[in-house]
Amino acid sequence: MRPRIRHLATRFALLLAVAAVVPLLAYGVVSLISLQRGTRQSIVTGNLNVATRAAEEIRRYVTSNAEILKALSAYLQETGLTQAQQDRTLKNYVLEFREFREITLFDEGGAKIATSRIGEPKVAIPKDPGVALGGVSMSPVRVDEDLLPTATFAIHLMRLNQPAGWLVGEFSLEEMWRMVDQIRIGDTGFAMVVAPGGELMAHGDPDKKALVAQSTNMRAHPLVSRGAAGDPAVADATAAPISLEYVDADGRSNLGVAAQIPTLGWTVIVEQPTAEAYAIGAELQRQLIVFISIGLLAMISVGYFFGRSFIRPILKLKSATQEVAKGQLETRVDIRTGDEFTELGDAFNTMANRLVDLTENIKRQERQAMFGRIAAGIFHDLNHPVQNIGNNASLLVRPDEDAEAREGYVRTIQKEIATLKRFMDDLRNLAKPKPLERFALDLNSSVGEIVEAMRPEGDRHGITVEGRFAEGPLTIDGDRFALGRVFRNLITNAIQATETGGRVTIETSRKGDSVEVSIADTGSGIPPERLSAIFDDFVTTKRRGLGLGLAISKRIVEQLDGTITVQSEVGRGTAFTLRFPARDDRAVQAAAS
Amino acid sequence: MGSAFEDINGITAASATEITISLRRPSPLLIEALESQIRKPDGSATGPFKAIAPDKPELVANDAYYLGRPSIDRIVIQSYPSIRAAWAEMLRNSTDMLYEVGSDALDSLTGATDISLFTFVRHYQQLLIFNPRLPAFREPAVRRALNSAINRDEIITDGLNGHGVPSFGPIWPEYWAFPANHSTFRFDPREAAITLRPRNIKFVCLVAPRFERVALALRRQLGAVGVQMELREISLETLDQDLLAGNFDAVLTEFISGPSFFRVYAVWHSRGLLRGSVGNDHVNAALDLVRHATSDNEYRAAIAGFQEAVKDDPPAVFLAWSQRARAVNRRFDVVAEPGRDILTTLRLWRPVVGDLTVNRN
Repeated sequence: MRPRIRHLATRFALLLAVAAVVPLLAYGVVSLISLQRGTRQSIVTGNLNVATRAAEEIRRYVTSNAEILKALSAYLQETGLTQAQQDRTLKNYVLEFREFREITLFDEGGAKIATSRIGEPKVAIPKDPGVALGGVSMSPVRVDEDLLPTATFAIHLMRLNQPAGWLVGEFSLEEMWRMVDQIRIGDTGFAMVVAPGGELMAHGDPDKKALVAQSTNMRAHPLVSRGAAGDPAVADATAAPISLEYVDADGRSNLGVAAQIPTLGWTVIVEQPTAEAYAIGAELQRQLIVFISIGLLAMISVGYFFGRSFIRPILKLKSATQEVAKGQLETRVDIRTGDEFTELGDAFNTMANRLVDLTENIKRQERQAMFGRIAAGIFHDLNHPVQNIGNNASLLVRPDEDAEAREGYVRTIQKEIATLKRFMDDLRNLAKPKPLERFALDLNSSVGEIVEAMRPEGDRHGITVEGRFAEGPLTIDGDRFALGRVFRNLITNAIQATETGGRVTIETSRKGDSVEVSIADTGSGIPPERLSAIFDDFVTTKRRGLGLGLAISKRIVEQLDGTITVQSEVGRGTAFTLRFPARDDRAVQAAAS
Repeated sequence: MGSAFEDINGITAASATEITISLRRPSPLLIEALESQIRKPDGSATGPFKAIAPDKPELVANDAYYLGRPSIDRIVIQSYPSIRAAWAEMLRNSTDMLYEVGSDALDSLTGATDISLFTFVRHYQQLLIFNPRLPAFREPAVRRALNSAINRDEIITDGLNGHGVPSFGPIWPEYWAFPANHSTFRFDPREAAITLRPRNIKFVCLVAPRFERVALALRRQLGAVGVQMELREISLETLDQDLLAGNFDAVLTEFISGPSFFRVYAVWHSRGLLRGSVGNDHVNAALDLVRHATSDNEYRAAIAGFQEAVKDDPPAVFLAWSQRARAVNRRFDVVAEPGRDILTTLRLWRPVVGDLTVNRN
């Protein structure tokens, strides 16, 4: 079910929200996505740059030292130094180039010719060719007993295209460790260097250096297992750096990038916890979300208050209309917005003024019509009895009338006086209803008396008045005289509305806790359009009378906690049904005793 | 216990914990000589820890230590074939302290969060000792020139990886009586060359493998002033034998030379540990003045005089006090005093309970 928004201000606020904030939200979402991607790309690019630069520096560091050894080999071969001079040269070289901890010159047979060492050389001619660095072969890096990364450089010397010995140097990569140590990405991002076989050669995290000391193999590292650690035999200079997000052994999510050192086959990995790497982006996202949220709330608030201001004249008109509807015709609105609402307010006020005039006119006309009807009714109801009384009084005073005739005149005068009295009683009841005196009475008995009394009247008009009474007493709390008047009035109306030969049926019955009396005739019936007003004052379908009978009857029935309803069909007749609460018979008996 | 104890007239036990030493004459070095460990066969000791047995590398807290029982109950000393192996064990939390980290490895180990590194200047100094009987070194001017030919800062940079303090004599720089304005050798290779080059000095220097780089640096600097130093590698054991026998031209080694002056006396006096194979009469006389000083002022003056004698008639080229580091797991709260070896406060170390305490020197 679609929720209904009843308040115009809310609609207005929502309209503004939809119109202005949705684009803002869309912009925010797009910005967030762009920010996320941009931040990630930026971080990855930055870290890749660091890894690539570190890889290049390490490559240059290693190859430049290889070049140094090559230069030394050339110097030794070209200058024709004596053995002692060669020996001194090597000793000075290791002091000059501290990365070389030892340099020894061997003849082709492996015998020492000269060495930087004071004692016997520790290095030997390598059996494994290792990595080729432009004429210099480099052994795999190992961590020596002093906890320093060490590799052996070897140059196979040639003279006149003939093997002429070996120049072998022990090369300390301590500087590479320093390079790696100096790489810091944020607070907790570090670099590491992995050999082609996965051996960890350097780690920038001081707490992870144990892994280097323990010669840990890093094949399980996600970046290494994805092939970041290249094979120098197949590695090429165009190998693209890779980036990856993964969870490490400590359960920490990391952003890692890897760059190869193609010549050496080593891999530089730069690793940073994602929480730190994306911290700035996350903070920007948070700020953007806060900004958008504040903007959204501000727009809705502005929309709501602006909407309320906008519709305030409408609310005024609505309130005034409701007041007028309640009958407060003097209600007016004061709208001074200077726009169409002011015109609408003025129109409302004009309409209200006109409505007051029309109402006054209607009231006046109603009063005049009512007065006319009352006057005509009084004239009509009083005219005939008064004329009868006058005529009979005139006849009564005539001397030629016999006693029997005179008696007849007197009865006629008395009858008409009774009519006048009833008429006056009706008027009095209308003005000031008599209080009812409620006693337990048997409705069968009460109605039966009235039916018997009215039957002659029916006979006089050729109408059968028939009573049908339910078994046993139908006791209610009622006023015998008031009810007698109600029943008499209804039966009289029925007789008057029924053509000669017709039938008026009075029937009593018990319906649960109620007692019903129906007075039905076979008369002309009441048109539907008049049916709803027949219980109003001064409403009648007859040519004579003020139209007070049914109004008074209804008032009496309701005073006795009863109801009166009518059903009628034109041409078939009318039936009035009176229903009263039944009185408990045991209470009646107790009252009677 | 050496010549310092010749001054003792007698020793008597005053009580179960006190002795009375009567002297023939004033002997200021005797107090310093008593820093040596006194250990009885039954295992009683005077220090905060004592060995459980002479042949076992294990110490236990000395309940009777006069400054109170240490917090650490037991110390087990484990040997490793290399620093790498020892360091790896320490990073595995199998070892609580690494006795000594060499200068080469120091840089790469700095920064570990669960291990504290404490650098300190050892009481050992590296020096080139001359054989006083060798004609080439007989002249004090030659030995002075050799000292002036040496750039000690460069030696420290090239030979000790930058981890050392220049040395200009045998006295521990922090020694209480060592005058702040003591005389030193000035690096002046040109002046040194004037003295040395005409003499065409050649000699053989015995070098233990661990001092190779220092030897190479030294050799280069001496070569620059016309002195040819031939280096010959020798094991430390053989070197000691040759040293005592006087079977050498020169020796590049290191001697303990602090913190007390008694150690200086024991090394450099001709009647000391090296039995006259080093030193000279000039130095002997200066040392005797120190040994028999009768007051603090006289003692200070004698110390200054000894330094002057060393400068005037140097028995060696004093190169550098070497720097080392000790690594301790941060599970221990280490009391570190500036400039001092943390082992001097070993009795005050405490295992950290709860939060780790970080100590750095």
